[in-house]
Amino acid sequence: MTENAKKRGRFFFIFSVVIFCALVLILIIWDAVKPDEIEKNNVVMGTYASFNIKGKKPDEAYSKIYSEINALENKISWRIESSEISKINTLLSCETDNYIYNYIDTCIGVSKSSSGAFDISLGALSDIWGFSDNEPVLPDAKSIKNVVNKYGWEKIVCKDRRVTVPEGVKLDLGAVGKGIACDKASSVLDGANAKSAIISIGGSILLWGKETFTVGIADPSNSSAAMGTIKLSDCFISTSGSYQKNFTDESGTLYHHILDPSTGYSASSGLLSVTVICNSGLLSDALSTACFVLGYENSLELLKEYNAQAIFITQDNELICTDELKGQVNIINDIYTENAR
Amino acid sequence: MKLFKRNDLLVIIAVCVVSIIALVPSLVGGNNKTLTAVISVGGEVIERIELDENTREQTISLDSSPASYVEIKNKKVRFVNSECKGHQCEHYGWLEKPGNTAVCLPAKAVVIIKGEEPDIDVLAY
Repeated sequence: MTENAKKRGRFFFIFSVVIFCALVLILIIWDAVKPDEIEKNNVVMGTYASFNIKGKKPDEAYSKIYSEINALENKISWRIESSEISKINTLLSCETDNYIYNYIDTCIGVSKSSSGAFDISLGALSDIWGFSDNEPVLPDAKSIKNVVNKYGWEKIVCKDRRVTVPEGVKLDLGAVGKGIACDKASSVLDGANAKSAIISIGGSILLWGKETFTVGIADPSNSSAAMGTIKLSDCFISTSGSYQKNFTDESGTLYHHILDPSTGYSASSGLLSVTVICNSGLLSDALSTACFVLGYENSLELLKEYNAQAIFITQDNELICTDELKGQVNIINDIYTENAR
Repeated sequence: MKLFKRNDLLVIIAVCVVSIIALVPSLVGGNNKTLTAVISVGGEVIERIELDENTREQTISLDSSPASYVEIKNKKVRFVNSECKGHQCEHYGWLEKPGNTAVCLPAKAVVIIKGEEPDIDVLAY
């Protein structure tokens, strides 16, 4: 073997070792810096929830979120006797902690701005419709009238952390509970080493972090599928639709769980669903309910006041988006068309 | 003096290319094209069952309270004979497409079908 051939062989060997080491190093560094990811499917607040978290120690973030949500449920569920809401409903006047007080106060603000389309004092109405127990029935008109005369958000008094309601008013934060849970999750993620997260609690969604996600908008004709998709990041999303928790009576009339406080019956504003996108879980939940009751035209001022965007699907299968979302929904099911107004 | 002969260079390039190709899956993650039924109870995954022609028909008893059962047949999966009130979980019927989900709330049991990379990250409903 010549001297040159030896040198070439040695160089070739060293070069290969360097390449190999470099690749191993890349793998080690990648493993150290790449975010871990967890996906958990669980039941919280009596509903299905999925948690997809990327970042360092996502398991820790998930455990903390899970326990925070359970603690929240213990405070706001009217089904739990020891909850703050149950105490108010039973004692009619009660001092609450700051969080509960603020939730109620914020809800009253939405009630006021929506002229009562959203109302947390409807607990007794949900009860007689059976929606509270997932066993819906059509109540007789007299029962509905009796209940309608008793409730009303303006009868709730919030002062110095004390919440007072008259007899016959039953507070129910069910319409915003999952959104508040998303707010809690967001706060936990703010303090964790998370990179991004998608949290869906019974359809109320938190997109956390800078990553852009593809969000499907449920198809009212088949709610397990999407009628279209939209790219979103760092926001809260809530949908209210007549396709959920509904039943038809003998005459074929459809009744659903979104009740119009002014009539006591299922809201009928020409919509199949409303999806609201904003920077608060509580507000996205409250606004989607209010907008469903109000209908498209009457919702615009309310959405503007809370700096929220929305996607309306009408009973004519038209999609109407507020300004910032116009043209952004990629429609998958072509029975729907976007109305550009 | 030339450090490389033409053939040496070809070998080095080949080694680099093969190494990079070998690294790709670990850098970008795998892409599972087989459908998988992921069964969770209380947030913990207790079973992952691939749904293909070779999957045997079976009914799995989940360690939950109340007791719940999941049937697997013909590349599909569903809740059956669960001992929960109302049997809402059985009303979901057969799950067979990626993203299909069924939940037994009292048992805190969730079945979800995973498949190819989904087009949708989350469904707003």
